[in-house]
Amino acid sequence: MQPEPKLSHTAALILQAIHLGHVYGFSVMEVTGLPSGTVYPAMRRLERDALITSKWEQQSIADAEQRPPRKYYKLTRSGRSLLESVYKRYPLLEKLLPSPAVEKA
Amino acid sequence: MSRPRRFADQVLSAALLQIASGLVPREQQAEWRAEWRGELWQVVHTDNADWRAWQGAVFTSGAFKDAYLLRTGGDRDKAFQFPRRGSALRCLFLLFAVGFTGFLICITSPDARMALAPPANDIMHSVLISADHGYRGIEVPSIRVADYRRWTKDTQRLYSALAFYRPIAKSVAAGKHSLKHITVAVASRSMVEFLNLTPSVRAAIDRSGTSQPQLLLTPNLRHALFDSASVTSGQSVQLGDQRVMVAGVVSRGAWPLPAGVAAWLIEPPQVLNRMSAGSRGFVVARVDPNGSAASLGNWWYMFVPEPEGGISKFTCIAISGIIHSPLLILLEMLCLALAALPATTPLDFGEYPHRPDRHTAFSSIPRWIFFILKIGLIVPAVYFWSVAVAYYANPLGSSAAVYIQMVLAFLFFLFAFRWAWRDQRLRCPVCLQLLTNPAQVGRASHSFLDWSGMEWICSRGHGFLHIPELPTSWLSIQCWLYLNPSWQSLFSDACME
Repeated sequence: MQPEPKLSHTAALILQAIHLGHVYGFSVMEVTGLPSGTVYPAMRRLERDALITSKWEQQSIADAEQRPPRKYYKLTRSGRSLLESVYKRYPLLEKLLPSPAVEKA
Repeated sequence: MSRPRRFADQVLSAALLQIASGLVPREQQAEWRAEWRGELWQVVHTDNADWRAWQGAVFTSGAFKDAYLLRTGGDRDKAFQFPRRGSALRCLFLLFAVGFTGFLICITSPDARMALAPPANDIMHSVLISADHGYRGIEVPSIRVADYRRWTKDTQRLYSALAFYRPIAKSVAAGKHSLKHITVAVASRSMVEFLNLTPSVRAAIDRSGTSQPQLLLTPNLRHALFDSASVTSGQSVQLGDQRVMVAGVVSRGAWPLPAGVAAWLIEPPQVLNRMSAGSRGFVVARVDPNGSAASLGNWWYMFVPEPEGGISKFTCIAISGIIHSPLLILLEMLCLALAALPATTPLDFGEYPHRPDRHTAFSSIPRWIFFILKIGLIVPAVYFWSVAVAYYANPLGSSAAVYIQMVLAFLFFLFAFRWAWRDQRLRCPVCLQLLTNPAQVGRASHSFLDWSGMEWICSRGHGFLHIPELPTSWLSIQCWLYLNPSWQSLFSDACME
């Protein structure tokens, strides 16, 4: 059995941000306050470890908004289960990042 | 942010992105660029209220790291990484860079270069004689030509050769070019033995015999008179009211002492004999290795009975001592700074108890190696920088350069050592990383007996450093506290970012 990847606090923060619906890089940067040089390489490693997956936005949606298409990320099943275990290691993680629903309220 | 600056930011960001994409493997380039472009659009089209200066360029700078890690497969071990901030390696690297920069500045300046690596020739066994002016006699002509004439006959037991030179301002003309107030050193023929000349120039002087004056040009004067045309031996130049032959071009290092001369005029003996007895110049003498002055060291006095009665006192300064003065000054200032250091900072590094998990007798060795390396890099860095500044515009042996080097070397050493000690105290004894997150603990004003001071933590979780604000009998100096290894997971660096 492959050992479970060990997440640093930064990686856990990014995973939590994606889990909360911040699904593209700049949005994750804004909510975590991390620089681009940290967020994008970290997301690539998370994707390499199959904790998140990416999908390109439909061109028609991007065209309608007159902007280039974005790449959206979402948690995989293993990413979600790892995040659950990470909450035990970083108990404040859930409180650090508010969910978009809470923000709107 | 103004519209033009926002536009400039967009252009700059796009350019940076294009450059960074060159690092990405070709097959991934298109998708990588598309993702970063999509994100960049979001950044540069942020509302005006949220806009920060050069936000797009700052955002795009992260693309370089992303692209580089993508190329290296995200394997940090394979990727070149500048040592992390606060690490021992980074500290040593920066010290090396400072020293190397000083060295580069030294080698760009001819005088500083000569101070670092003086020319090696017979002049090292010679002395400069000064008429009781001490060190000032190196720069000020002080010996009467009459004294020189007498010494060539009377001091054979001390010196095997004597030479005289006198700087005089003259006008020089060659072809279309004419220059006024050029300092020319009128020198005795024996001066040829002391100048560091190339064999071809020496041969040209020998060929011309002893009856005609010979002119040796410095490269600057040669360029001013002849532009880029080459100068051949035997070419004539108008010097003041006489026509003289050019024997050759001498390098800047031909004479290491301060003379400020643009040309050397080697005169036949009869010309010097006609010179007014009171004319003052410099006298340089080669010490006879079998004579009584051979063992007198770098500085001694010569007492000469005068023909009209009385005794004159002269100072003899070894040229090797003048040439090696930058190094001697450095060593003196090093000792002085070490003596003054305890008055500026405590020399104690603090208490480091035994490490509970794996203490060995060698665990403190890396700390000491790091400290010795730091000091080992500081010394040459101070040497290069003090020489670079002092000798950038001053010739070797000039008193201005000596004083500047003394002051700079002392101050640089003192502040650099002070920094080295403070830096050493603020490093983790395990990983040598600079400690972070200082926190004030306790309040001394409320209860004198309570502990109060500053606490620093190792970012890798090796422990805490307690620095007492007021030294007490139970905690007088800073003290290190190792963290239990069970804390390691919280600080783990090996985990994925």
